[in-house]
Amino acid sequence: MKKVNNPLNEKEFKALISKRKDNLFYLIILIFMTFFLFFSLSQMNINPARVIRGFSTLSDLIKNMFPPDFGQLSRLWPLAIESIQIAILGTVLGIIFSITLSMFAAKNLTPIPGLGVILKGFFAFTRAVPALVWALLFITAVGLGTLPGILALGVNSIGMLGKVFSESFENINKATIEGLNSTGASRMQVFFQGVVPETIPIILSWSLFRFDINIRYSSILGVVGAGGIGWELVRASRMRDYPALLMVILVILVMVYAVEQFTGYARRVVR
Amino acid sequence: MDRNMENNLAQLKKSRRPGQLRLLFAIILVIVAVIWSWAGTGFSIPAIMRGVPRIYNFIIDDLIPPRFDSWQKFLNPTLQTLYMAYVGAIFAIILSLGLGIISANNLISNRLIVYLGRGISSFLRAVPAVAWAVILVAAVGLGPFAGTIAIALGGAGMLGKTYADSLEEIDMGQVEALKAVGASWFQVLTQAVLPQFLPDFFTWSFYRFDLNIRSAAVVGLVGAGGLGFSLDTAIRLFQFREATMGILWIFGLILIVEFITAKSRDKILEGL
Amino acid sequence: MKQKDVLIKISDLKKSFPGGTEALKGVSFDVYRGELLVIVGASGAGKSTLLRCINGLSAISSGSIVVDGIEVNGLKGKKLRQLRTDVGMIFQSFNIVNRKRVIDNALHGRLAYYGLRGVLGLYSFEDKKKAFEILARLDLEKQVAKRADQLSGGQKQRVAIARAIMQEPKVLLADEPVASLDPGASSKVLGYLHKICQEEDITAIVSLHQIDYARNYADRIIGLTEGVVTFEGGPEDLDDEAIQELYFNEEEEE
Ligand SMILES: Nc1ncnc2c1ncn2[C@@H]1O[C@H](COP(=O)(O)OP(=O)(O)OP(=O)(O)O)[C@@H](O)[C@H]1O
Ligand SMILES: [Mg+2]
Repeated sequence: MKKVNNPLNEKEFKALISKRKDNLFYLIILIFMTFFLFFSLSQMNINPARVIRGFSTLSDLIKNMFPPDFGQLSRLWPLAIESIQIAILGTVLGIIFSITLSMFAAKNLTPIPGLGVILKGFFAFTRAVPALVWALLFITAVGLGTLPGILALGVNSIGMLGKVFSESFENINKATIEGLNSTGASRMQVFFQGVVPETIPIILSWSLFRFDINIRYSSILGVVGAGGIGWELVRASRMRDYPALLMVILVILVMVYAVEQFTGYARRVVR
Repeated sequence: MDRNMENNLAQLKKSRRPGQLRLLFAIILVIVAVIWSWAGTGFSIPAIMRGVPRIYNFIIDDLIPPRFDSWQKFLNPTLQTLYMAYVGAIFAIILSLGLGIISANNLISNRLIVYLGRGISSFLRAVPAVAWAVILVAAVGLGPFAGTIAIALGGAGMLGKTYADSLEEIDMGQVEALKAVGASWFQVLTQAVLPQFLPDFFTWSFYRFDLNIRSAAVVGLVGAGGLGFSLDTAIRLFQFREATMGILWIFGLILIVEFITAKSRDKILEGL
Repeated sequence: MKQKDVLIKISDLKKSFPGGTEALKGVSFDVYRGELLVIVGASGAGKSTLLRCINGLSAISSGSIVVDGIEVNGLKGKKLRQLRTDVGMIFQSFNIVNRKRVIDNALHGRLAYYGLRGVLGLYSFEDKKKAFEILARLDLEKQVAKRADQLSGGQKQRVAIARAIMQEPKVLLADEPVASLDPGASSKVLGYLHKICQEEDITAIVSLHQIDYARNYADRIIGLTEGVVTFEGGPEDLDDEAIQELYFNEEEEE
């Protein structure tokens, strides 16, 4: 092979191609993450022996689940339906309130500037507190049943949809609003004739997405007593009726899958 | 002139018809669904009317103000929530890397393995984390161990799918070029696939960690440790102001973790 | 220079795709050691397919390809990778790893010589120096530490050439290497390719669309039409009539 003069000396060449600095950065992160992993494990008292024991009891339990108890189906079916209904009402409630509140939260639409900031804080809070915790609180306030579940999903949905909707309102074309304003349209008219038509694709797709999420939540709201099929999970596990437990899970799976198929179809139609 | 206008109007009507028909159908569907759910759940305006003042009273009388002096009670559970979310994320990431690779149809030529991988991910994903927690509490007992595994399994379902989808989108030309130099499967994986996959990998993994904090905060409600467990205990003991404190802890933890993950994600992505 | 020593022997090569397309319908020709063979032919004639078969990226349907005494058909695993180290490949869309540095891309050419160390991207200092030298010969010494996605198209293709040369191949296959470049960059890249193959004594098979480039650089030209060899000769034999045959004869149906 022909030699070409390497214009750099060895040291310069090494410095040129060295990645040592980058590598050091990632190495430090990696060491820190590994350390924190083992620290967390020890704080939670998780050790290899426990993991091995855990997996053997888990595999025993899974063996005991089979075959699933199909006899439970007639009892579980109405509860699954109830979960779907809770999700529908919670989602609709969330959509109605989040659209309304977003009118006041969006910077470009709000009549009172300070209100927008407060509402966005409210959205952040309702979004961050998990749906199950909301359910727990509503149960304490209004008692067990489907109502606290519906309210919990509604409130949690407001947090997410309110954020998305108010941001999408803020992103619409300024000219649209100004044009309508110049025709002397009222605030409501501007909103329904200008803002809503422009953002309807966003509203629809996020509402459908939220419905997907709410179906998952509504399937487990029952574990705290907020209606639907979730309670059956706790009941079956407390009674150590594992075939029934598996049956509950299967029903949840079918329910979630069926709704996902439906929303997937609806999303394609909307688009 | 008039004729023309009429024609245009007719055309306008026609062009709007299929969209409008669909919209009408959707509205009717939603109304029917609401009525059906309304009847099925026994949801009623009077119940809401009775509920609203009760909720209002509950908030004013029982929840507010939070008992700030009880903050220490939630310190350990908060840390435990963090540990569960973190360890759950690491386990999920490790599991999903394998799952994601075998579920990517451009990396694995055996259709059967790809279907198997995809199937496992969708199963893990479809079972809610809380349901996993119920099963695991039954199997390994109360505490954060059950919660950690539950979070890891739920997370692996999501990451397995998102990793596989990202992997399927990489530029196969680069992969093919390395195959053409005679590189082995593992060499192609780290030298051509990985560099393209890393940005998505970090984005999804950090996002999953954010979600894990939320899951870790609720699995305690079925006995799997962390803040949820303390919150449940406080409410059972009618210590509502303490519960408010616990909720503030959850809120604070989520905000802080989201802030930190956003910062570190940006820092890492920028360095890639 | 031409010692008429056969390096690659292709006999009655046929290739059909699952959809039923017969891309190659019995192709036979020899490639001599040290020559630069240009393959021309209209779009869809089967040029890419032919090159991909030679280094085993596509499995052939029947016939035989012998590269330096080794039958490509049916090679698998380690043997196939062994063959590929002898057969460098350059693509129309460069196919360098965009998120890696230029020098890492050049070093990829050495992967087959490394096992686990290659998985981790750990190369010997000698190989790094060699990569630098080759990049310098392609006038890329200022770019070595840059990330590949910061380069222009012509520079990217030179990096791809460096990667192929790092393999120390016996033969280099280039599939329309300048089709995505502007004329200036095209002749520059072809010039580099031609020069480095001569210096390293590497046999090259280059598929090209541009006839004048083919005439300039080719030692020999092979023309493909719908999967059949319809022209074989020196650059001087590729006259207007032959071009007419190759490119425009079959177009009438369309
Ligand atoms: N993966 C494939 N599956 C099915 N058919 C293919 C595939 N690749 C190529 N073909 C077909 O094989 C024939 C030859 O294609 P090839 O890409 O080899 O032509 P080419 O001469 O390289 O054309 P171009 O100049 O456009 O690159 C074409 O009819 C093409 O449609
Ligand atoms: Mg081609």
